[in-house]
Amino acid sequence: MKLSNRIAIALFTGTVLVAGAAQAAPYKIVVNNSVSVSSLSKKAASDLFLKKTTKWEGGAAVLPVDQLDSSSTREGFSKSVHGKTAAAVKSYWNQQIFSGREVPPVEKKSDAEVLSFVRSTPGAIGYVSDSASTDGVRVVTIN
Amino acid sequence: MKRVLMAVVGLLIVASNALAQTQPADTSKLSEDLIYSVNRTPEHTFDTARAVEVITIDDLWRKSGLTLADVLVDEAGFIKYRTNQYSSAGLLRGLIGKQVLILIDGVKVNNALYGDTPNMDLIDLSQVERIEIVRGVVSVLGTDSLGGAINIITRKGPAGDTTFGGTLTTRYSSAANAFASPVQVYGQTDKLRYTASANYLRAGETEGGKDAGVQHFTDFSQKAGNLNLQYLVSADKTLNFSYHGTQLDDAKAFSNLVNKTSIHNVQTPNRFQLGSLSYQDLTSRGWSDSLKVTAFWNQQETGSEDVRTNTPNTQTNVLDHDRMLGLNLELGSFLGKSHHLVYGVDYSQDSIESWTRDTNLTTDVATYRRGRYTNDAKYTSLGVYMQDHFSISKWVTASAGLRYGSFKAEGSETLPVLGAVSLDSTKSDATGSLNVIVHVTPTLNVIGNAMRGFRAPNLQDISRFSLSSSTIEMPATRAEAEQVTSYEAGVKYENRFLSGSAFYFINDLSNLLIVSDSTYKGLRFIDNNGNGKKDAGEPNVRENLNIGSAQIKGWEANFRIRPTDWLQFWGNMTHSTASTDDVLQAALVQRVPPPFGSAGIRFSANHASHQPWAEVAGTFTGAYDIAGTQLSPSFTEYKVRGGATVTDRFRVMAGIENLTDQKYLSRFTTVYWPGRRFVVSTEFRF
Repeated sequence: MKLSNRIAIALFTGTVLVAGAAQAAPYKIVVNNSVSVSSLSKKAASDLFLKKTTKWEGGAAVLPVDQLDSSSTREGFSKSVHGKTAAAVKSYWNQQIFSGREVPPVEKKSDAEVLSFVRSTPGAIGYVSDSASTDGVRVVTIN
Repeated sequence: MKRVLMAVVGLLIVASNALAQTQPADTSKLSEDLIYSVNRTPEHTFDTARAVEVITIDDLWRKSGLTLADVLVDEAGFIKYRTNQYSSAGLLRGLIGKQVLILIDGVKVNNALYGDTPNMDLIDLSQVERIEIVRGVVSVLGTDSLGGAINIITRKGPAGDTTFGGTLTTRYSSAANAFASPVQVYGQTDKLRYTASANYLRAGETEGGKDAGVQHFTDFSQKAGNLNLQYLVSADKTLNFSYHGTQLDDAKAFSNLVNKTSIHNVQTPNRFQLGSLSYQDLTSRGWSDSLKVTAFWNQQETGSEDVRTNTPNTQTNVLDHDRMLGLNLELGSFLGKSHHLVYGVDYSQDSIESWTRDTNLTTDVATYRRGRYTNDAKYTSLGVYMQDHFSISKWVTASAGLRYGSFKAEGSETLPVLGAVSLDSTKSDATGSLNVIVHVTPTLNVIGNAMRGFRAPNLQDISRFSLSSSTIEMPATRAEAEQVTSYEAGVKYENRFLSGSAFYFINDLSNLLIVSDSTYKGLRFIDNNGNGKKDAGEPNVRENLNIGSAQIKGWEANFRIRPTDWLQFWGNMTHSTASTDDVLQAALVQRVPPPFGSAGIRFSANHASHQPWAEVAGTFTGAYDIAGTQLSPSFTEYKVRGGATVTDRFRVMAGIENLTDQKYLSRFTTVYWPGRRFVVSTEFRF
């Protein structure tokens, strides 16, 4: 093998071995008071946030809301509920956008913005950090 | 001219200030900020380490080009060579034709007969949703991208909840009385999304600027049809079929007819067809987060029908037919905390038909002889690739790609003078890249890239043969792969008001294939009589040899300033130079373009009732001066365009291009650039 090929492979394998990512943080799922659900399985919650389930029992539209990519709450939520990193979920959405099939949920910058959206939007579902006050919304437990 | 421009700019600013009081903020379309072609997965353009441009569907409407190359001009790093009236080739970083990879939805258009100036205008514009340009070696896309890659993303189904609709579009340019009329229908059900379109383009004889006048025999027509079907198996699974076909008709060999060396000369057939069937599954399986299988068929036919003035009773037809069948399997996996691996296998095989037919027009008797390439030759390529995108820290992300390619040529024939010739050979090599981004701030990325690429000789390189009394070009059975090592450094900046990028690159090219003097049986000529001396009628030997080496370096920069939601300034500039020690390689360095760029100002009131917009733009190309000889002069073209959405279902744009009616003959063409012309497009949605 030529020297340049060896260098390319060495660079590739060398760089693959070093990596890091954002810390994950605990979260809780919240829904608008119009939603009667009090608990969800991880699979059901994942389907709601990935827009695979688009209607609540009773027919109301599901309106999921995400936090920003950089949010540690999003990282924790993604790993726990979707079973993958926030980057992997973002890649999933990029592929859905790119193929013209679906757009991701709206993103809010903070717990307060998520809570405000969920509180005021019938059918909304979001997640906030474990320490956030959840007045005016319903907290959903994950089985 | 300057006063006119200043007046128009002033008016735009005044008008935009007035409208600004009432308009809410613009909304962006999510997909416009994504690019697929860098890491073979959609990602945000700002987050990629590469020098990229994305032409959106709105840009396509504003530019309102009749052909694909029309809408690529004005982009940083890209220059269009209009090789004749109906055909254009694109040049990236000093390289052109088979050294630039063209794809449609990730499926390669480059085939085994791609030469220096393949006609990219055979890709129908009416199907295009966006165009991605990546400058420099792109290892995961293929091995032909020495200069870069152009990936054309086509339309797929309607946006939103539209169940059925369509568009009826017209485009007109006065320079050649050119008229195109694309028609598109689209729709969707719970399980099926579809888009179908047809386009007919008719161009008259092109009128050049100033005293160039009407250029006879430059008229042609082109028709195209496209279909995309998406079957939505589930939320994660999609089966996709697409077909694109274009046929060029009535195109003539302009110079042959003007110079009266032919009585009749039509470039026929001239067809391009691409079909693909793909299955994408985004289900998470632990070991894989995405899977895609694509089978494709790519068929291209070029030829000519010629009656020469010196043989008026013989019609000569030439045909080159390449049918490529291919398969791609690709997986994507997220590993560890941040690694996103994309890896797969590419396979394709080209089958060639190539012949020349002479028909006696008196007796109708036809005789066949060798075409431009070896008839029944085959070309097989196999590629294995892997790309990893990962974070090293909060401040640094990187991607590393590696592709191993193997190319096998097969074919044999018996040639005059040379006897039995075999093309059988296998070439293999690796291409790779390492890209590092330092996120200095959330709006500033500093980038460093190192790439290595190669392009194996294709059948166009190795199977050419020609024989005259003065020269013989032998098939290049000794040809090896062309090589490039490339380094890039750049910055990208993006915030709400200002975005832009600047890249400096150095490409060291080696083993470039150049047709030059060669030897046969140790002699530089064919020694017909065996006396060891060159006698009259004994042709000199020429061959496509790996003797070229050059360094092409330069920089590309672009910017976009948006002081308000309704006003933006943009501009770009590209400057590259080439150096070589070998006079034989003059042809190579002469292709490297002079400095070129474009700039403009646009006003767009997207939230006003009729969404009016207007822009003034200028495009500059420097003079081609080689060793004191001017090969083409400098050229500046100004354009004024504007448009509006008249009703919910009807929009219109109009403009004047080459405002100062410049006369310009660009490199590699004998047809003058269109003079001052009025362009208008309308679109009716139903």
